[in-house]
Formats: sequence, structure tokens, C-alpha cells
Amino acid sequence: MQLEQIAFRYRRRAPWVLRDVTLTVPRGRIIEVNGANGAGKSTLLRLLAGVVPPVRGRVSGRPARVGYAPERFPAAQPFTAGSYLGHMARIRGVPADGIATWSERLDFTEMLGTRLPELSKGSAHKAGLIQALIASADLLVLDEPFAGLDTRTRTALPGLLSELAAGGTSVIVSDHQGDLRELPEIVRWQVSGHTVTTGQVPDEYATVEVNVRADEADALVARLTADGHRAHRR
Amino acid sequence: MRFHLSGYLRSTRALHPVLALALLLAIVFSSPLGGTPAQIRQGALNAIADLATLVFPICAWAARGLLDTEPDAQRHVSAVSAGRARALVAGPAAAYVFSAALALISPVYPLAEAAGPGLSPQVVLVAVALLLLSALAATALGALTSRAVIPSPATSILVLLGVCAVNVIIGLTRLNALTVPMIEWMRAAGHGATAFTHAFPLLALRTVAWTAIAGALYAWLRRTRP
Repeated sequence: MQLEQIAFRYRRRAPWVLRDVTLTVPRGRIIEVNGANGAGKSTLLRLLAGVVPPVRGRVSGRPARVGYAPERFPAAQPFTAGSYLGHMARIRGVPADGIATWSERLDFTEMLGTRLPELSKGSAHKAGLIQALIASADLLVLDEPFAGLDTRTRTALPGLLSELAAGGTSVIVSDHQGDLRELPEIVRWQVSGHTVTTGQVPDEYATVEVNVRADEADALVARLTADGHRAHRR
Repeated sequence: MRFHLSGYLRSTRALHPVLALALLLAIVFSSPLGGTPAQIRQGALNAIADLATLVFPICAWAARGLLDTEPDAQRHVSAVSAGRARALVAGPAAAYVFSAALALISPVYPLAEAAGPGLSPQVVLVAVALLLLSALAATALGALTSRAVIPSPATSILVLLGVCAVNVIIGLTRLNALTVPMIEWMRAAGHGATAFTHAFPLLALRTVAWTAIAGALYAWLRRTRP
């Protein structure tokens, strides 16, 4: 799949969100999309998933089966989680068996009978991930998939995504929190200045997790930043 | 389409236009169509033509409500799951099914009243077709004022009611060719069953043309409004 000289804005005369974006989406790889808030990561992901067409430029070779999970799952819908996922499977024309499989893998089975508005933020987020995963997609686009997830799912998700990538799926993930940094051969895209630059995560970098008292966290982040490290509080 | 209808019918939003229609019908038919058989037939025809105009804003409101029941992020998910073109059509198609049902409920009383005095099947068919066409144009207006196109609820309801009002006002002027021909179909019904059935093909064509233009505008605006 290729993006050639893509430009996008939401309204005529509105400022461009992205310009001159030329990218190739490698098959069977995980791509981590980074960038500051408002840089255009979600817009890039929507263009890649096919939610919107570019205003200028061309997208070619997008696979027929695309899975997309938005940053915030739309939980304000009058369905149970199971009924919602059933609708999504039917719309996609895929067997409903995938719902049980992915619900089990994401520890969501017990929530299938719960109404969507009653789900916790993390559980609702899982519903959003499952509707994208049941597609058996060749391109999987996940906007901040780790946000709000419990520790167990958060730990398991990179492995699940690696498994999908090994099976040939291109997995594109926007991630503020570095949950994918430890995966080997991850491709990194940086969104800034209305465009996207590409590059691998340098091998000499590693992610260290530190548990610290809540009232000392900000001070530790400040100290590490002052020492020249990239540090942030989750 | 089933997903849209299911979501709308499970929400309380679907009750709003139903209650508005019930109120309208209660007011319009608070007294029976009386008189000679010919007067009852003419009264029923006038009532149906008036209803085709009166249900227009209610159907547009219902269509807007149905489309707005789907959260913005779900629209994005649906666009990917179903494909953008299919998702673009599915919402308005579901809205039309609901609007058409509302429009078809509205003439039950006058048709029942006129059944005895012998309203001809041809006139009944044309009257029903007129109501379905009114619902079709109303659905296009509802889609154009849905949140995907006009994010502000206050602005969108103002545009919806404004278009309904302007349509009737322009319908009284020489620029009436630009409108959904409500004034003309009410006038044609007033001239009797023969004039009404003769005028129908052109009125239908104009309504379909108006809907097609509004639908094309909706599709064009939705291009960058996911």
C-alpha cells in the first residue's frame, strides 16, 4: 500500500493537517506512529484506514480487508457488547466465531452481555479493538490501542499484534506511551510539521519501566529529562 | 441498514417524530370528513395532499435523528467495515425506511373514511406514492442537516426548519420550479382527482430531481466530513 503526495484538510480554506506525505506501508510489519498532540496522527490513521480520502494525492494498494479501531470507542450506543460485535461481524460478512475467540484473548468474554454504555473505559476500548480484530484484516489500524487497558491486556497486546504481523498483516498503531518499543523490527513514523518522516527505532534505545510513588513521579520524570532521557509519566 | 434502524429504534429518539406525527394527526383529523360521498372523497384527497406537506418536516427530523444516533467514531468504524460508499448509502436508506413508514401511517384515517364513498384505487395509489416521494425528499434534507454535515445541533435544526419554510414560501412564487412542489400538489388535489393524477408524473419528477440534487450535495459534502 502506498500514499503518494497526500494532503488533507477537513474544510476548504481550513489549515492543512497533512501535506506532501509519501509513505509505503510494509507488509507484515508493525508500524508505530508517533507525534505530539494535534500533530495529525489520528488524521493519518483515518487516511490509511480509508475513513476519509485525501484531498490531494493518491492512496493505492489498500487491502480489501481493513480493521480500524478509533482512539475513543463510541460506547454511547443502545446495544450489548455481544450484539454490537454481532452487527459488526455481519456488516463485514465475517463469521461471528471470531467474536468469541478475540473476546477470550482480550479477557472480554464476561462483558459480552453488558450494555455498551455501562462498560468501563478500558472494557469499551477492548470492544473497539475486537471489532477491528474480527475482520481478519490485511491492514489493521489502531489509534492509541493501549489507552485505558488493564495491565494484563496491555502486556498481552504487543504479542498479539506481533502474531498478526507474522501472519502478513500490516499493523499501524499510534502510541504515546511506548508500549511497542521493545518489539523487534518495529517501523517508526513521526508525524510533525504537517508531514510524516519514517525510520526505524534505533537499536541503541531501550524502554525502562520504573514503579515510583505517585507524589514523586513528576519529579523523577523531570530529573530524567534533565539528564537527557526521553521520559514521561503514564 | 439494519444496524442503523436497530440502534435508532432502541433509542428514545425514534419516539420524538412518532409523537409529533400523532399530535399532528390528532389535530388535523379532530373532526370527521363529512358531507356527501363526493365531498368525502375530495376531503380525503385534500387531506392526503396536505399531509404529504405536513409530514415533510417530521420525516426530515426523523431522518436527521436516525443518522445522528450513530456516534461520530462509529461512523468512522462503519466506513471502514462496510466501505465508504456502502456506509454513505446505508444511513440514508435506513432513514428513508423509517420516514416512509411514518408517511404511510399518516393517511390511514382519510383513506378509511373515503373507502366507503369509493375513492378510486388509482387515486389511492397516486396518493400513497406522493407520500413516499415526500418522505424521500425529506430524508435527503434530514441527511443534509445531520451531524456529519452540520456539527452544531442548533444550526442544523435551524437549517432544517428554514429549508421547509423557504420551500413553501418560494413555492408560492415564480421560482417554484426550485422547490419540492408542495404547493402544486396541494393545488392539484384541490382541483379534483383527475387533475391530481394528471399532475402527478411531473410533480413526482420534480421531487425526485430535488432529492437527487440534495443527495448529490450530501455525498459531496461527506467526502471530507467522515
